[in-house]
Amino acid sequence: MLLIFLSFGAGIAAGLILKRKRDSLKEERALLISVVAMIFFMGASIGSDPNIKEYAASIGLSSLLFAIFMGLGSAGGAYVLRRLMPR
Amino acid sequence: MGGIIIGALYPSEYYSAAGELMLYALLFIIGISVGFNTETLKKAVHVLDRRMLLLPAFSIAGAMLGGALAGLIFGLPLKISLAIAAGMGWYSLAGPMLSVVSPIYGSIAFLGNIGRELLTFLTVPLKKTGPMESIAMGGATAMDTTMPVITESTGREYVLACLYNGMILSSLVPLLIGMMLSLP
Repeated sequence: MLLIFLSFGAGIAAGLILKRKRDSLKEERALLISVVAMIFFMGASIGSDPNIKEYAASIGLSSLLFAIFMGLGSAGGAYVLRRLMPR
Repeated sequence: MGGIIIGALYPSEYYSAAGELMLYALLFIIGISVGFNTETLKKAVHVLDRRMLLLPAFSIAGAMLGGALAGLIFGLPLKISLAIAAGMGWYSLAGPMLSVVSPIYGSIAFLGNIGRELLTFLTVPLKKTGPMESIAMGGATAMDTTMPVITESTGREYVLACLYNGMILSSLVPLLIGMMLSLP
């Protein structure tokens, strides 16, 4: 958690310092490349888990349903909050 | 999907470290783009209103309800379903904690919470949900892995809201899972 805040804080500090040399095209490109690379490596680390195939075959359906219900449940909670407390 | 296939074909323990490294690089780049634009920074503070402050509570309640429903379909005990849902996307914690009770429950918690993260990656960029719903769907991962996708889809002014939501949920997840497992 500390590394997360350090990386983000260092980025903000660097952005404030380098403000005059801003290059939005390079910024967008770096962001896109790092998002794609991060998702790729996350996927690769999930795929290289030796138990993942066994898990997926045996309890894949229940896990999938849990994933969908939990994700939609949280989004639904946020929707209810938005309706209860309009801006 | 490409990553999962490559990982399955050529397993390596370095993928996880590389992914983590990319995450920190990504957070640094997002930080730079926020720092470049002080207006975004002001908006980010403004976005943290009372609704955003309450979002973690509603996010947890929604996930618990969803988890209970999923558990009902598969005939799982309620406390196990609630404990799985209390993972809030933190699969590396929810899986091992549930494995203490049963390896099957641990596996469901692990894969279910991975699935939740993947669901966020797949659905948030479609921009069919609002910023609050997107952040809530990310759960505890809204402060790290899913933050780039959420901020790119909803706006960089939501970066602080992502951090706040992820931080609160991450600190509550171990307590919540423990509490659910100790239910009679």
